[in-house]
Amino acid sequence: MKKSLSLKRCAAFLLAACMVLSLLAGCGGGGGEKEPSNSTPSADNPDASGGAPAGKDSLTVALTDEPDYLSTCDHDSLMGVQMNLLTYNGLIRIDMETLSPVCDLAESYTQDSDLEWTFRLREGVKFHNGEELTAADVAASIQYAQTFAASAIYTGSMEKVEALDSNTVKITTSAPTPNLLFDLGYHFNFILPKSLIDSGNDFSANPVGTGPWKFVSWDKGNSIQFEAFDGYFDASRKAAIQNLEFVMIPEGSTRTMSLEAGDVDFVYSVASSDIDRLRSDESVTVEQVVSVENFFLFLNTVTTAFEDENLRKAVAYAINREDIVAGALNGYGTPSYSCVSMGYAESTDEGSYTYDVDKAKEYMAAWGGDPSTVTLDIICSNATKTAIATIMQNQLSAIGINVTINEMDSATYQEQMRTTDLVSAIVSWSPANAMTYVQRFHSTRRQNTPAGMADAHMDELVEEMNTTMDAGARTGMIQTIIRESNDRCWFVPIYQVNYFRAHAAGLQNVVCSATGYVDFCTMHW
Amino acid sequence: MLRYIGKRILYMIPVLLGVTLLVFFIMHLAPGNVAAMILGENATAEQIAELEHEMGLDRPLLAQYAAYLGGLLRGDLGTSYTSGESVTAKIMACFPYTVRLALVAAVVSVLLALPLGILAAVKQNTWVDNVSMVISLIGVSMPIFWLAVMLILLFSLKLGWFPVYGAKSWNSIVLPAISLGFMNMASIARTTRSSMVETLRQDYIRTAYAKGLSKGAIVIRHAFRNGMLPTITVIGLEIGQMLGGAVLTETVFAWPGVGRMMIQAINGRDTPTVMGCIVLLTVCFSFVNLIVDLLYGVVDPRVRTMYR
Repeated sequence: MKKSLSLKRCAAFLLAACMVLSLLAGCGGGGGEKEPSNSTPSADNPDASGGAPAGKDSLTVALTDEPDYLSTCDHDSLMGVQMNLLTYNGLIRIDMETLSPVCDLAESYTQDSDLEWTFRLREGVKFHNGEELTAADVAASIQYAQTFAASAIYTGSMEKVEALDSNTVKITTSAPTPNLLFDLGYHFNFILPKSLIDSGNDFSANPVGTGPWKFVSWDKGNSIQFEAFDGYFDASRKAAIQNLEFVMIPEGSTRTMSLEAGDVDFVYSVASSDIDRLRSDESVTVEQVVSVENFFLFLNTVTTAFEDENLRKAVAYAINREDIVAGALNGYGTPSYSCVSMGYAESTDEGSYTYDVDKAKEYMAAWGGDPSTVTLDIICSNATKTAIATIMQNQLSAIGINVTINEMDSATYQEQMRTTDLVSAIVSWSPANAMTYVQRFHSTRRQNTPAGMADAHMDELVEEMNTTMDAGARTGMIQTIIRESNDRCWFVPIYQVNYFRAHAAGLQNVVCSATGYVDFCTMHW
Repeated sequence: MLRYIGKRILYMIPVLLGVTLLVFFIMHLAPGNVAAMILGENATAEQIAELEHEMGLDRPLLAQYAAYLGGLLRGDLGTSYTSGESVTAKIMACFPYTVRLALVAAVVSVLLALPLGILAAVKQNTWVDNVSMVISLIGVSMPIFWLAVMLILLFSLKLGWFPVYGAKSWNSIVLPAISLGFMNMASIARTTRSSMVETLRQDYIRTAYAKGLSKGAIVIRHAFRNGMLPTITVIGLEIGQMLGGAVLTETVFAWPGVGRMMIQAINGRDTPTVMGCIVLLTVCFSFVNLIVDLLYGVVDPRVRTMYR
């Protein structure tokens, strides 16, 4: 009996020890860290030890989610746009490094008046189906896009689109539209073959465009395949890799291990917990980009106590952004102090507030209300936002503001944002340019957030900016609006997202844009 | 027997009605506007209302449900709100992967669980019994997510024997099946053990020993068959659950099955896809239960008389 008991105890102890050892083995880290790699673009690295097999002409990219559509007008998702950039072009392209509009299918353009723009098309441009691009295709594409409700913001300003001849397009806007070039660079306005539009082609199942990549196949839930388009018009941006495959791997650690095992060559989104480990792996390069995606504490300034400017300023001064980045993001973020991300030509952080609890208390006194009557109920749609709100909860307790956190799924969160019922939310925005950013917060573009700021003076400034065609004057106006927004603190900026992409070290010339897109044209082995 | 099968198939109809009604109303009463999600953040209230009208979402709920039932009777599971695809096509693209994974995982779990459970019962209260039950305890306690990642780390990354993700090659199924099967093995093993322990205590087993039959013959030919009924029930339940989609396993291994699709559909308020998955799950569960009931008759002839 005694012998059997002691045997049982030994067995139990051995099993427990095995379990603990296996836990430790699973959690073991890699070697020492190496310096972070360059951000966009990555420099050719002669010391990279992770080379590609000789003659490798394919690239496998691991994505988190599958896009719903490969067409241009049925979605407004980042991944959908990334796919569109492979197969389509617009008259204008937003350069991935400078974020400025550059001519793409248009060889040149002139602005004939405040309302009239003329675009001269490049000659000899072919669609993937062999048809030649003409002005009729451009007119048909934009008119087609205008039939989609979701495109209205980017197509609504164009009152008339005419093909003057086979290579010339004239666009007449309903009002002065200084942002027209950016709008034309948006995926809704990418150019499709008129013949396929007229025949009712499903551009998601058959995405025919002029882009550097041709669609090959889509195995839903598994992979999407493209091949380089030999007839691409722009020799400087012709795809250097022949075959491109996107595979869907929702789990972050699986994506990372797939890269380490060589099953994939590029990971679009690296889980923050894997960044250090990948940086210590010489066969992998990690790209870090400070994006233009800005995270905010959105405040209901319409129906809550936060319509008072002093209270908002108190909150802004009481938030320690560095602590939030360190605590909620493991240090992988850039503290933000401006209502418009830094990174645009017009960006400025003038008028913004840094962490200062004493000043926060001064503004609470200036507000004059009882902090115990204010409950900042923050709605969050994912774990990162919840972590941010949790740290804020602690920080705001220093000025007597009680914070409650309400985590919900994305659909419920979006519905809440369309009401004036919410008190506060952690939100993120990343428009393509500063002007769209500013329009988003003020005037009619903010109609989807009715709890957001409503100020007649700001609306006047934005409306004036909207119709100022001179670029220099407009930049000044944008900066004025940003300064005033920062000063009046309609919402509290927290941090700018850092995007992390990882790839096999043998992959060269990787360009990752601050807008979140990756330029697959420039890459080569 | 055929009459019994026909009756069971007919019973599925009220079950389907009840389940679809419940899920339909839950999906529509849950917060979140699918038209707003489709149109994106820039949509106006008017545009959302227009799309809701186009999609028929502004009709009374009962009218919408009736229309859905009408489609279901015609074999049409509707169109996905988020991708515009036929729900039937979406499910048919994913379901074969789920079936494959479920069957292979079931084989793994049964091959592991039955010997473990029988051994534990035969060697009750010995170290063999204790080790067997500790293994099954580990199986039921270990997070499947963790096991899956550990398997990838060892067999894919370190040893390079199996692919990390996906369902492309013939050996892609091994690691997902092991991680799913190991978890299910636990409950099957424990059920087998309890049932066998009880059976081995019966008088006829003592008689068999007295007659001089070998231990192996007694356990396999007599005790095992009589002790199988609860085990068959548990195996049936496990297979039914797996056919509904093993979300965590599918997520870690990027296995393109129904479970992952259903979660995405729920988060996207894609009601037709959710309803389609629920209909599929209900039908699968019902058929699996029917097969389990029929197997009772195969294993125990006394049960067969009830089916006449």
